[in-house]
Amino acid sequence: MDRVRIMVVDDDRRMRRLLARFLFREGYEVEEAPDGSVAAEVLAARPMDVVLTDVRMPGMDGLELMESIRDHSPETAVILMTAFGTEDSRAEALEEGADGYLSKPFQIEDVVTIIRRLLERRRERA
Amino acid sequence: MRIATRLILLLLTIVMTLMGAYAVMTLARTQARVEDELMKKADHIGLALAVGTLHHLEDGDDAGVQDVVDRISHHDDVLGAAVFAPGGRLVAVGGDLSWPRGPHTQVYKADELGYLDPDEGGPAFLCAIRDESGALQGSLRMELREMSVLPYVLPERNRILIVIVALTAVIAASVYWITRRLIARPLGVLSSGAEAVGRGELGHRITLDDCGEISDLAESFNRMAENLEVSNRECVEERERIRRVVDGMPEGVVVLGKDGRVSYWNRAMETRFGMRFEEAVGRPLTAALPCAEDRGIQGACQQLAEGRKTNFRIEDVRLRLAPDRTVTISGTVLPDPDSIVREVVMVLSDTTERRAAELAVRESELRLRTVMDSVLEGIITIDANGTVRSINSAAQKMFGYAEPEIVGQNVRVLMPEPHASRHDTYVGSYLKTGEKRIIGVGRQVEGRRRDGSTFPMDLSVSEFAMESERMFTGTFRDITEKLDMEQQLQRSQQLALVGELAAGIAHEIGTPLNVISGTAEYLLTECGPSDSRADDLEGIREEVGRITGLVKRLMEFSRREDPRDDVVQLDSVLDSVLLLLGRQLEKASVEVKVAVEEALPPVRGDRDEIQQVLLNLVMNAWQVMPRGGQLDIRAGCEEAADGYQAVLRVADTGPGIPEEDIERLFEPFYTTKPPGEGTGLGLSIVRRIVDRHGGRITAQNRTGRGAVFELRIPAIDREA
Repeated sequence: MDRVRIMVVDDDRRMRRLLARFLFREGYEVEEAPDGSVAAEVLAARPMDVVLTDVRMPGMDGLELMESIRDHSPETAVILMTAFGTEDSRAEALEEGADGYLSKPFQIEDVVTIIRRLLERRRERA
Repeated sequence: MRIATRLILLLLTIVMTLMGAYAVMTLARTQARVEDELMKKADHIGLALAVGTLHHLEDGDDAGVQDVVDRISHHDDVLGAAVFAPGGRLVAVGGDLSWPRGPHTQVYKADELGYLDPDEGGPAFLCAIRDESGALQGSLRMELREMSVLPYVLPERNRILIVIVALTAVIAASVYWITRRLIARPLGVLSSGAEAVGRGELGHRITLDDCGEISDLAESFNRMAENLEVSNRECVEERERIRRVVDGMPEGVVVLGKDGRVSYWNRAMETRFGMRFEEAVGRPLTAALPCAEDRGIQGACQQLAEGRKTNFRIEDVRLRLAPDRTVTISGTVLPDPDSIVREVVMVLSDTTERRAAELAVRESELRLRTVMDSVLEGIITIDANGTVRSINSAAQKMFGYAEPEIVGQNVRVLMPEPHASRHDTYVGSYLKTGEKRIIGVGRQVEGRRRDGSTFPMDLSVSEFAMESERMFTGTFRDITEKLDMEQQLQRSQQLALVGELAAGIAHEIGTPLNVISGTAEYLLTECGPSDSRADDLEGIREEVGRITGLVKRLMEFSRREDPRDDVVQLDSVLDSVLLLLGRQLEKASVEVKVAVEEALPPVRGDRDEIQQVLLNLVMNAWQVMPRGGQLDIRAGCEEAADGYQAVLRVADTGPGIPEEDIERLFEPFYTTKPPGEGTGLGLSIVRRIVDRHGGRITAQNRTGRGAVFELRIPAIDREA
C-alpha cells in the first residue's frame, strides 16, 4: 500500500518545515507549498490524501485552495489552520467544507491525531 | 309779645313806679305838713284853752271852765273839746266829741301836746294843764276839724297827680315813638332781612341810616350776609366740583341715605347702568338697583348702615340692567358719630375688561404651564434672591419635590455642597459685576434630589426682567443616562480597541508561537527519556502555552460574554444613539432625518449590542461625510418568508463604497479607511452581533450618491 501523502501549505517557512518534518517522521509522504497557487499546481499534477493549509496566505488563500481541491480531487481531505480561531470560526471552517480544523497555536500531536482520524473515517467509508 | 310792646310796658312800669314813689313821697311830705299845721293850730288852741281854764280849775269854777270850753268849741277849726280834773273827772265838755264820756285816766303833761292815734282813742290832741309851779291842775282833750287844713294840702296833691299823668303820657308817647323809630322798625327790617336770608336770598341787603347801633348791626348783618353769600357760593362751587369729579368717575357711585333710600347716583350709574339720577334718587336700593337682592348686597348695606360692618366687597356681580357686564361692588360708610344709622357709599366698578384680561392672562399662563409641563427639560424660575418662583413637572420629577414644597424655597436646596452655600454669593457677584459664569453658556452641574442623592445635569440659565425684577430661568436635563451611555460607548470603544489589539496580536503571534512550541514539541519527541534537555523543551512548550492562554483570555475579555435577552424597540435605541451623537453630528453639519413607521415591531436581543450596531452604522456614515451631508434613517416593518422583520436603513451622502469592497466590508480587519484610522473590526463586530440576533446586514451604494446599510432583525411575533 502506498504511503499516505500529505501536503503542508503555509506561507511561514518555519511552520511549514516543522510540520513537514514531524509528519515525515510519523511516516507520511510530505509535500510542501508556500501558498495556495503553488499547492494547486502540485496537486493538479499529483493528488494528495490530506492537505493541511493555513487560511491566510498571500495570493490564493486557504479557502480558495480548498475550493479548487473540491473541484479537482474531492477525495482529498482538507484541514484548515487559522490563527486563534474561536469556536465560531471553527464552525465556519467546517461549514465551508473543511474536514478538519486547527487553531494556531496547536500541539503538533493534535495534527497527527486529526489526520489519523480522517484517514480511518475514509477507510471505513471505502 | 312784640319786643316794642314789651319795652313800652317795661318802661311804663318803671316810670309809674318812679312816679308812684315820687307821689308817695310828696304826699307823705304834704301829710307831714298838714299834721304840722294841725299841731301848730292845736298848740295855739290848746294853749289858749289851758290858759283860759287854769284859774277856773284852781278856783274849782266848773261853770267858768264850761264857758271857756264852749267858746273854744265854737271855733271853726275845733270839733270839740273836754277838760278833766287831775283825778280824771270830766269837768267840762263842748262841741261834738267822738269818744265815750267816761272818766279819763290819761295823764298829760302841760307842756306836752300829744297826738292820740284813732286806735288809741283818737284822733285827738291831749294836753296837761299846769300852774306856774308846775303842779298838774287838769288835762284837756281836743279834736280838730281836719278840713280846716285841706285848703293847703289839696292843690298840691292835684298838681302832683296832674304832673304824674302828664309825665306818664309824655313818657309813654316818647317811648312808643322811640321804640318805634329806633328799635321796632329797624328790628323789623332786620328781621325781614334775616327771613329773606333764611329763605336763601343771600343777596338781600339792609339799609338803615341813622339808627345808631342798629345801623351797625345792620352793617354787620350785611357783612355777615355777604360772607354767607361768598362762602355759600364757594360751598356750591365746591359741591359742584365734587359732583363733577364723582360724575366723571368711571365707577358708579351710589349713596344711600339714613332711610336706606338712594340719595345720590352719579353719572356713571346713569350711563353705564342705565337708570337716570332723577328716577333713582329717593327710591329704595332694591328698586333702583335690582341686583341688590342678589349676592347679599342689600344685607351688606344694611349691616354697614347699622355699624355692624365697616366695609364690604362683592365681586363678579351681574347687573340686571347691564347683564353683559361684570361688576365689583365695594361699600363703605360715611362716619357719623352722632347717629346710630349711617349713610352708605357704594362704588360699582366695571371689571368686565379686567376680568377678561385676567382670564386671558390666566389662560396664557395655563398654556405656558402646559407647554412647560410637557417639555422633557426641567425648567425652574428663580428671582434675584434665589427664591424659586416656578418649577415645571419635569423638574419636579427630576428632583422629587412637589411644586408647593419647593416654590418659595431658596433654590440652593436643589444643589449639593459646596454650591448650595455659595449660591447666594454666585448670584450676588453676578448682580454686582455682571460677569457671566453660567448665563448663556450652559454647564454640566450636579443637582440634589429630595432624598439627598445627586445627579448630573446640563444646565443653561437665561435672565429676564419682569416688572423691573430680575429673574433667572434655568433649563436643564438629567444627563445620567447620557453620561452612562457615553461611558458605555467609551467602554465599548475601549473594549473594541482591546479586542482589536488582541485579535491583531493573536493573528500575528499565532504562527510564531506555533513554530516555537511545535519545534520544542518536535525536539522533545527526539529526546531520550534520560535526556536532560527534555525538561527545558517541556519548559518552552509550557511557557508558550501560557502566552497562548493569555491571548485567548484577552480575546474573550474583549467579547461580551453573556448577551442579554431583552425586548428591544429599535426606535428607542435609535433615539439614544442620536441623543449621544446629536451634538457631534450637528457640529459636523450632518443633517439627520429620521422616519419611523408607527408599526415598528420590537425585536428580541441585547439592547446594548443592538445599540452598538446602530452606533457603528451612524458613526460610519458620519465619518464618510467629513464635510457634512445628510443622514437619512428609516425604520419600519417588512414581511419576509419566515415572518415579520424590523428593518432599519441608514443612508449617507458620502462617496459610497467601491464596488470591489462591498463584499468584504463585513470581514474582520477589512477596512476602506486609510491605514491607522480604521480597525477593520467595526463592521465585523456589527455582523457578528446581527448574526447572533438572527438578522442580516447588507450594504449597497445608492443611485447617485452615498451608501445605504440595511439591517434586518426578526420581529417578535406579537401574537405569541
